[in-house]
Amino acid sequence: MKYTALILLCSWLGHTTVQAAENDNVLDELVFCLVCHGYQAQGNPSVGAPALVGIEDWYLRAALAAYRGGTRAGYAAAMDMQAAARMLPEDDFAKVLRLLNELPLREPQAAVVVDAALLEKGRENYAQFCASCHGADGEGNQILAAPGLRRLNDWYLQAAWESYLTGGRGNDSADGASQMAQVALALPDSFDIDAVVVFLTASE
Amino acid sequence: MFGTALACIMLSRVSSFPQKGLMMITRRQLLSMTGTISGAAGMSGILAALGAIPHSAQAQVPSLRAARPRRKVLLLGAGISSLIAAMELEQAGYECEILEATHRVGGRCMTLRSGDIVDEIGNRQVCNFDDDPTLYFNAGPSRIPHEHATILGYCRRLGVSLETSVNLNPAAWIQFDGFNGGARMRQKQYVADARGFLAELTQKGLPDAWLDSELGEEERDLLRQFLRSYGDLGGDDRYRGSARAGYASGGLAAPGVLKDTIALRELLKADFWRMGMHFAESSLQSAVLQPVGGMDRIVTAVLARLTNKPRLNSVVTAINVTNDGVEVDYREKGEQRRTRADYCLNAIPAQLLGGVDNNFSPDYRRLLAGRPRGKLSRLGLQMRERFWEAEGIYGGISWTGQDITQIMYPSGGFGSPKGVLVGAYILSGEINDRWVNLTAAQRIESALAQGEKVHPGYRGYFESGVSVAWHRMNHMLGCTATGSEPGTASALRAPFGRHYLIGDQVANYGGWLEASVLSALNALGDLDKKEAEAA
Repeated sequence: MKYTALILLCSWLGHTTVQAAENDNVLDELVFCLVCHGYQAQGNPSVGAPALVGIEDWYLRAALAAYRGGTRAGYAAAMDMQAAARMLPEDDFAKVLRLLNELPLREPQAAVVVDAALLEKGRENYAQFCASCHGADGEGNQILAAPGLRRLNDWYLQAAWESYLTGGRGNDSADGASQMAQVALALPDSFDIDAVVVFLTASE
Repeated sequence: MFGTALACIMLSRVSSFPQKGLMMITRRQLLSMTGTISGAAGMSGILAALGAIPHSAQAQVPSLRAARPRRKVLLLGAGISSLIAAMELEQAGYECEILEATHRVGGRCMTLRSGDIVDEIGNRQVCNFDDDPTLYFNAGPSRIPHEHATILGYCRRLGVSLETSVNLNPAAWIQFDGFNGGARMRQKQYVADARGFLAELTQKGLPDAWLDSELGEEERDLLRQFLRSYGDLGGDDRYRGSARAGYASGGLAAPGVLKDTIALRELLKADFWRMGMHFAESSLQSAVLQPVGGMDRIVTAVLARLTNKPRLNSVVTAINVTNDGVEVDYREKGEQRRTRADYCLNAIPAQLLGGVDNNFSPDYRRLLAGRPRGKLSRLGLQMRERFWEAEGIYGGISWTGQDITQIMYPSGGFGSPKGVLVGAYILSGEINDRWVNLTAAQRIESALAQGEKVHPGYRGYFESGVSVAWHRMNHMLGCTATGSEPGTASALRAPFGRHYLIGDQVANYGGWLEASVLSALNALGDLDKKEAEAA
């Protein structure tokens, strides 16, 4: 049931598996994800690893595939994730997703100070520029490959945005995120990412 | 002398807690401690040492009051800081529990030998060196400078044998692609010519007016003699080469023929002068110390003295600091568990604490998040012959402008058939960002290709290799955090209730065992004070 490091070592180190077992290097295998993403999968900004709870399966599956395929590679945390994804046999994606789904849902960290005017601007910006793909309330739309935005960490939304603008993400046309990169570069100056992040992360 | 004075202090401490104290500190322990301690036990010394480089001119040693009954300390992470702290605490009568997330003890104090596992994310490896204790690779710290008196004191106390580690070897090579047509050169040749030209330039360039105003007649003459000696100048104050560079031919049986000098403009092209040329003039001097058989001999020795051994594969998931102690949740082999203690010494890397639920203050969390992930990589290569000894190299480091940066030669086992080289020790963040994304096999291939420029035929000697990129190591994801805003380290050293962050991450100069140990002693000093107040 549990996805263990031993499985990884089997696939990765072949004949050395016995050695691994003797060294008792058998971890609870979600820990393999959680060492970066936080031990409750709540995200850890210090290593640029976002929350994984409450994220749609289809999105996580696509992200893992993009890391494995090397199309998501334009920033440091993506390279950390590529290394991790490399150790995860494709057949085991489903197991990881199932284990993540078993974790308790947590509210994303709310912005510490919510400025009412900024919140309102964010609401308007969101409705005007984001809602058509990401849903009226940030719930996401799989058909358009637009993920839900409500359960993402505020710092991650900011970092992802930066990444789209600077070409770190979505720069490979094989990556589903290339659509978002094009939109990001086309948005007018009236678009205020800080306001939109406040809108998406403020608890209402 | 200091020993006697300290013994008196300790005995007076002991006598104020007669029931427990006499049990805890035996005469033998006392003698073994006083034999090694040359400094006072004052915490001010520890703080001073943590503030600067760990530059403890004198060994710091805690003198903990005997523990009150059933006092417990929880230590998170089984690196050198926790282990030393636990040893001191157990000796004073505390119950200690150590939780370690990985499959091994020692943290970055890691010596790899045959069969050892490297748990790097994306690059899990097994060290395939021959099963021979002399064939080892210190993947983390490998050197102890003479000024690091506290860890050296512990080595003595623990019976860990030390030997010289050759840090600077003028016979080792430099190789920089833009210099000398990319060909290697002995360091001593470069250094002799650089000094010669500098001395000649200084001799020519000192303005008479300055000399007249600053120095008397006799002093001026002394300065000229000094420069002649420094640069090995001729009687006419010109530099025409030096025996210090090594002879082109002859030297012993036949008269030595000087090498041609390297043009000054050529010397400037070798980045050797940026770092390698001077690095051994700091606390990392030409000869430093290392434990015989590998740095982890220290870990093994501390471990042998601990009553409660660290619990491995135990991953901390939440830390809750309460009014009278600390509660910690952790996962051990798939089971969620909770433990509590009167105090907690926490060596979990700051970059991972962002993913551990806690009730730290927002300020404390902000400081933790502001500690950048340090990046360092090393690679060890087992070579079937010590070919470098045939080139006259016994210990020390060759420097290259290629990504591998350094090749470090073993400082022991001279003349043995095989040897382990440090085939890459990468300090630059930019190079580390590249290197970390190579697979284990690609790193070896890269190290062999680059090593070939320093030692023609290098690849032919290769038997097996293993690499560690500390910024990808499971349950670490970084090392030697440096470069955050000033004051962060000292603010993180301050206790949060009965929770103390320890490890080199709270010293201003990370990456040294001394810094780790001093951080632990600093926490113990505060803990001891709190206990004294509560008693």
